[in-house]
Amino acid sequence: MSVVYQVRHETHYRYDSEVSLAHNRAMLTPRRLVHQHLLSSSLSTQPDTGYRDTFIDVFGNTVQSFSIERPHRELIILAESLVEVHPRAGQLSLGGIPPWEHCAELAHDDAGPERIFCHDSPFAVGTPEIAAYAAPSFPPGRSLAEAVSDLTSRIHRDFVYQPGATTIGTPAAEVLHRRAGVCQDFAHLQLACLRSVGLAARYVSGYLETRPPAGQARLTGADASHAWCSVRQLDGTWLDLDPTNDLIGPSSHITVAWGRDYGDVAPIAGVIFAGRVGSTLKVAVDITRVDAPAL
Amino acid sequence: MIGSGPQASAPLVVVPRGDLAELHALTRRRLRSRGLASPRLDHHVSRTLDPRPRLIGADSWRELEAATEQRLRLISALADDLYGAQRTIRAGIVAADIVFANPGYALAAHGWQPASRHRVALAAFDFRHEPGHGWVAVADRLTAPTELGRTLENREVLTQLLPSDLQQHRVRRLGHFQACLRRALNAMAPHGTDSPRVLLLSPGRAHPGHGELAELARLLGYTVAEATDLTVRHGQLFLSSLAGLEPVHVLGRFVPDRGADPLELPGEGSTGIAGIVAAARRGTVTVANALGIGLLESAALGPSWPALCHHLLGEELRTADADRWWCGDDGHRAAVHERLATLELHPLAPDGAVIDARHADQATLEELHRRIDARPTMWSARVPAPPGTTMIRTYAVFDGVEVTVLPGGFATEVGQAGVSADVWVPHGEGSRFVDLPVRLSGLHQVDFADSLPSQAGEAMYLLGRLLERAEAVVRLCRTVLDRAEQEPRPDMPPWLTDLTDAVDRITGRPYGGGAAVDTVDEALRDPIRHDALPGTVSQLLSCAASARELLSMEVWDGLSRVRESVQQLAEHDLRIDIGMARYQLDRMLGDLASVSGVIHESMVEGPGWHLLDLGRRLERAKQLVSLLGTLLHGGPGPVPDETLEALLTTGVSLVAYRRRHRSDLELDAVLAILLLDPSNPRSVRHALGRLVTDLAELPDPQRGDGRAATYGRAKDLHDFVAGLRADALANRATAGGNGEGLGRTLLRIATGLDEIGEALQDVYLRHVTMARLPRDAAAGRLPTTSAPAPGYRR
Repeated sequence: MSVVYQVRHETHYRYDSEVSLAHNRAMLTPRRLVHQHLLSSSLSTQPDTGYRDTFIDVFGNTVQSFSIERPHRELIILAESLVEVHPRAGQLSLGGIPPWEHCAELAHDDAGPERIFCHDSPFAVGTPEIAAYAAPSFPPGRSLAEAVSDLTSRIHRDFVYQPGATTIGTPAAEVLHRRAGVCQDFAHLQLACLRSVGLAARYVSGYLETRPPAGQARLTGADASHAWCSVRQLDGTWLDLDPTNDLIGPSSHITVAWGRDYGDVAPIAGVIFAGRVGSTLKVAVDITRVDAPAL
Repeated sequence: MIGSGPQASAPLVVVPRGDLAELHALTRRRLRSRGLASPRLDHHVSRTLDPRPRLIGADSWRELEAATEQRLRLISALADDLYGAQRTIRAGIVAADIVFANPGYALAAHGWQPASRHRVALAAFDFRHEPGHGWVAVADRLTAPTELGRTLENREVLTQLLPSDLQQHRVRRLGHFQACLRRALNAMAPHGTDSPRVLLLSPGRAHPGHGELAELARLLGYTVAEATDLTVRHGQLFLSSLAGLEPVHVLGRFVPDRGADPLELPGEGSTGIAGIVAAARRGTVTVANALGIGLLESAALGPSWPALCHHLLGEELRTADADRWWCGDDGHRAAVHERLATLELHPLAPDGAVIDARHADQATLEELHRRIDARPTMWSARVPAPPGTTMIRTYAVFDGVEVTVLPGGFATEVGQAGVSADVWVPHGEGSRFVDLPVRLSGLHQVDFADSLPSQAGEAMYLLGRLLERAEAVVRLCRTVLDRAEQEPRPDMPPWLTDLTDAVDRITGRPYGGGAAVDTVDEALRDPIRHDALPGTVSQLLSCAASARELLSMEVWDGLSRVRESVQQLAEHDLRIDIGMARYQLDRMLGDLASVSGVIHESMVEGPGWHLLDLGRRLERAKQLVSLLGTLLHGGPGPVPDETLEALLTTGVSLVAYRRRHRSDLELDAVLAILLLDPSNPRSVRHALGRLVTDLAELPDPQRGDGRAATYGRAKDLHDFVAGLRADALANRATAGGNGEGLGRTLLRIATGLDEIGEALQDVYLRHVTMARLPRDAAAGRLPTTSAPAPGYRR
């Protein structure tokens, strides 16, 4: 049975001095996918945008680019959407059954744009240490599904979820060294691991419902944007891997955008022009189930 | 290769000269006087021009021209494909990794077409000639096709030096190409733009490449701007000029992709124009060459060009590339390992440093072998040209339909950094292109006279101040030298001490006392102190370099002579050769006057001129008030004649005084002529009057009433000075300290001048600071949200 979620994502910037001009870009509109229907979505700002443009980026994500062109001291960006998520009858498709080496070979021979997901990206640069960490999960002949499942569990087991242990710019190698981080760090590390054995892997930004399905334990933690990664299988489909929560092919994740790493899909990025450029940021995300789906 | 006459097949022949030494000297002089050699005082060795042009044979040129033309079409077609359908990758002609592993592949540029429809407008290509192979392509320069300004400049210089040689060899002229370039850039404007505004984007006024670009802008009649002069509003690019925001339709950029836009093409820190990618994507502005074009410069593409040419153009590639290997190919990688010590390694990243393995020791070589094996896709290699090889850079412009090749080029020799030679292409049967006149028709005439980028405005204002300050230092030092010589007494009289104090004050030296000659020596020769003469002239030259496109060539003539004088002074101890110093000071005053004359007689009185004049008047008034304050500091008793005479000499008013007053020097008359006389161009009142006029002439920058307030301040101060009475001031001065003495009046004027200076900076030059200070960034990047995840267990 499908579930309809209401997502409310509010970003609030306060500036140290008056800002005369701000350029922003937001990637907050959930993607339209086979299992995920976007029923509605809106973006509003306070103060109002002077100019706004929506476009689809190279990965098919929706990007809103806007500017605030009058003096302001704070900026609120509110994104709301209504998403219907269908349970996926096992993302573990036939493509996950063959040995992982076959997937890596396929990725290597690919001349399509997805080839880009095999390469280092600014936030997920491979190192010999990362390759060494990944290797035990990929013995010869193991099926892709088993191998990536093992890797996901190992990252989940070996690393401590610890907000504040890292910053946005912490490289994957540093995460490996510290053995701690938040979801995007684990996603970046796993990306670098998967790419180190030649697999195509991408970073996914989205949301996660915190209300438990019936009969299961309550999931702890405040609502927030979430990040995980995804690996390409032999049949060309992608399998989501959530190392933060040790989940393979999770069913209740809401997918917003994907790219090579965080840098391609940051929910909000911006540039301001002001005398002094200090600012503080508060983000609030709420995911609620809408009981009667708007049909 | 110095040979006889030009042969049709000869690649490059040095045109022989008998009078070489003399020609070299003349060339150096010409370049220096144009300010191109180096704007800096301390740079003696810089870029020079070999006065012997390289004459290319007609047949050889035909090959090179066709190769250039083909290469531009090829690159343009490949750029369209790689940022579009990527058929060449799917067809296996370009290895996927050369694009997808390449940091130069700009994702933000993928999937949309620039408003111009074509991605390359101007390109530069480096070739070398190899016996047996003909012309070999070495590098393609697309993000910043540099040295075009210098190429045109070289020709201008040689046209002056060797007019008859040009005639004799029937050398093709370059004017046609400039017209084609202008037409092509204008034609790139978004559809429906009536009068396109084209701007050249410089990497920054302090960047070594700026001068050359400003030269190009000057020749083409475009404005040159830097990123901080530009702003995107409402999805459109604007030049932030003194007159307000002006829409820009075509941006000829000479900066790399990386860092072009802090939002979508970020580099280190916050550089670039925020929102330029969005504006280009929307089609309100064309960036030429297109964003992302850096990918096409990749050396890794080298081995693929022949197949690409076949596939995209259906033609054979006209020139081979220099032997190149891309290590992502296993066969190539083996070849590179085999001969690594003879190669030059190019990283795939466009801003990565090239590594010359020829000079590497064994350990470094092993390290390089390892690095290649660790990431083979990231490396390509080629055999570098041996020292002494002549390289030639050609230029071509593409308007979307036709390619025009510059009939000439920029020749350099490997191992001879900074030396270039002009390439001469003779008229002949060989040329496919006929230089028909190009008309820029169909464009509305727009008067850009009021358009001045804020950064250029600041440079003009500072230039005015520095010109005046340099003159003040020179005049004061000359006065002191004259007086000190005439003064036989061993102990310094108080008036001379006052004069040396004034020298210390203007040059920012802590009052040192000391003999007058020592003080002057330091003022004129101290290379360290910022406000001593060398420092002032050095700042002056760099300001002039920043504002180069606004200044006429004659200004550089004068400034280069000023520089020579400063260098001469630096080499001679004043105490030993005082005559030499006085000669140089006189010369400098003449040269500074000639610069002023050119500025007044040959420059359009637009906002740039008014800012320069403002800077100059403000500084003149400040220096004179400061001098009066130092010399008439209100001690009891009458002011000595020597002081009054020094004041008049330094204030260039002694002759006027003598003609007007037949009496001896009197304080009130001196004050009247220096402070209050509206007809004396050296007086404070005159300077204030000019300030008021200049402010009234500046365009309203629409920044509230800041302009009105500044104008009001200047007017008030002017009226205050106009209302002063010389006899009253003189009485107060001699009476000493009664009521509002002369000192206080001077202080009030000085404070008023400082306030005007600050207001000016605030209103007209707000976002810029003095060039010397580290610049406070005006653009900050917001922190982007982190994504803390729920600690959620299965």
